[in-house]
Amino acid sequence: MSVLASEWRKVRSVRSSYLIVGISIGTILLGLALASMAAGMYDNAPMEQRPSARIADLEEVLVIVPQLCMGVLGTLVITSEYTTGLIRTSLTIVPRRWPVLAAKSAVVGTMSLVIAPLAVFGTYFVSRWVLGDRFSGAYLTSFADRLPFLLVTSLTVAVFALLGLGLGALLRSAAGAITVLVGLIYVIPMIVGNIPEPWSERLGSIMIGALPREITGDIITTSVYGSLLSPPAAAAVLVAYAVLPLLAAVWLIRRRDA
Amino acid sequence: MRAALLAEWLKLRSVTSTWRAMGAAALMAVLGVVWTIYVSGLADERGTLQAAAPEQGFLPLLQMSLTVLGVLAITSEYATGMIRASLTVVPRRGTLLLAKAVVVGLATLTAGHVILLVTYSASRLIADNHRLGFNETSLTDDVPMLLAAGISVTALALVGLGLGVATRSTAGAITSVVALLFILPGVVGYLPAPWNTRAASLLLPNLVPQLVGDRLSSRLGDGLLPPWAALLALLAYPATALGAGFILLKRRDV
Repeated sequence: MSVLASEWRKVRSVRSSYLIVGISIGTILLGLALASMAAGMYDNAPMEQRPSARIADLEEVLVIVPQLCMGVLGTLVITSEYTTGLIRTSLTIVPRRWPVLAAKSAVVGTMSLVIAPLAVFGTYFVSRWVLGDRFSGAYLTSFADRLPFLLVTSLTVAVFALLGLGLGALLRSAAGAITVLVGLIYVIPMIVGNIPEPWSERLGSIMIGALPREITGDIITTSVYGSLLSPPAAAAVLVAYAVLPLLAAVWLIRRRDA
Repeated sequence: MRAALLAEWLKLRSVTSTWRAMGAAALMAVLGVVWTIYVSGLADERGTLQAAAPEQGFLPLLQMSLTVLGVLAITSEYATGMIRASLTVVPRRGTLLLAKAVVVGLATLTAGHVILLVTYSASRLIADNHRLGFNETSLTDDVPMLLAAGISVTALALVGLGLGVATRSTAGAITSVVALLFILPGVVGYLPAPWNTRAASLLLPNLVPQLVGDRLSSRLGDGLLPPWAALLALLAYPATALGAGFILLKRRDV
């Protein structure tokens, strides 16, 4: 319990945490700006073009901002300890070591579970409010229908936070961990999208960006990802992204010097 | 200035992270070879196909790796406290930043072009007579593309250096570059037309195709900038980042 309290204090006492949380929640303002711009353009478009105008789900597009931010937070809570040498103190106080990682996971996981729904639902409601019945009523579907998708999308933010923490603990370097994280989110999906079929769709189905739609069964044909996994399989892959690097990190942190 | 340059070169080559970043960048050539072998095998079954060129498909890997090198050239000094020794020895801060920019610039320009050329040549040699789409143009047609890609790598590394000076934090600088390289293009791509193409024309990753007169993507179509304007924009990014870094470095305590 005191390990948990000390990890919470560490997160609270550095300025970068507040910046990261601020930017994550600031996504709502970005959503407001994009939605207003889209609404303005829709209103200025000639009548005959309006029925064919389409808009992407802004909360799905913009969730990459909190995802990256909380991933960086997850990375920083462990790599900053290696940079400053605080890790030696932390591990002296908690010689069994794994509780440090468990407490860090609990703190960044819980923070993500609070912040992500704020950002995702906030973006959704702001877009819905601004866009109204424009774009053929893209935002008129009932909230209850969208709820599962919004919840799972929020959950992916926590997965990123834990993934960042796991990578940070494995690599012990902010530069290394953030680069690998970015590679997983952006670079690999770009490469996978260019692979000839059938591997493009097969590999695309296990990219993190594909999983929310696979879990909720909200399949769209224009997706850049694949959609081959069943909801339980997709949920298992999502959990694996968060848990496997952390388990590897727990195994390594008990064997390596700090 | 000469001493400052030599010192920066010594610092850059004496840390393992530089060579890890170079190694990650060189992965591009390995992936390019694997990729070409794979699509050549497919072409044996299907005749011809339109595959993405490895030097374009894997470019983000090269850009990202060498940008991290640019960021670490300065933020590692802030992390270890080395920056205080550096500024004591070279009290004129502009000189220090310039020396770093020159060393990072030359190192990434060389490494970037070498890796691009190796990727290019290896993939063309392996592709041999297979008709893969990307290997049906001549080298003279592809040289501008390779040069533009190489320049973009150095531009990004210098943006990384500038943001590293400005933020003094590895995480902050890398995340900012990621926003420029991946997040902004992603968000802008979802704007309703024609604003998606207009905004996308100004973004860093899209300057490379505009520099050689290619279209941005099948969805975005042609960019708005002529090649000379794309080159200016590509130079404006590092100039702005380094300028901002210089002003902050001059005014702040270390």
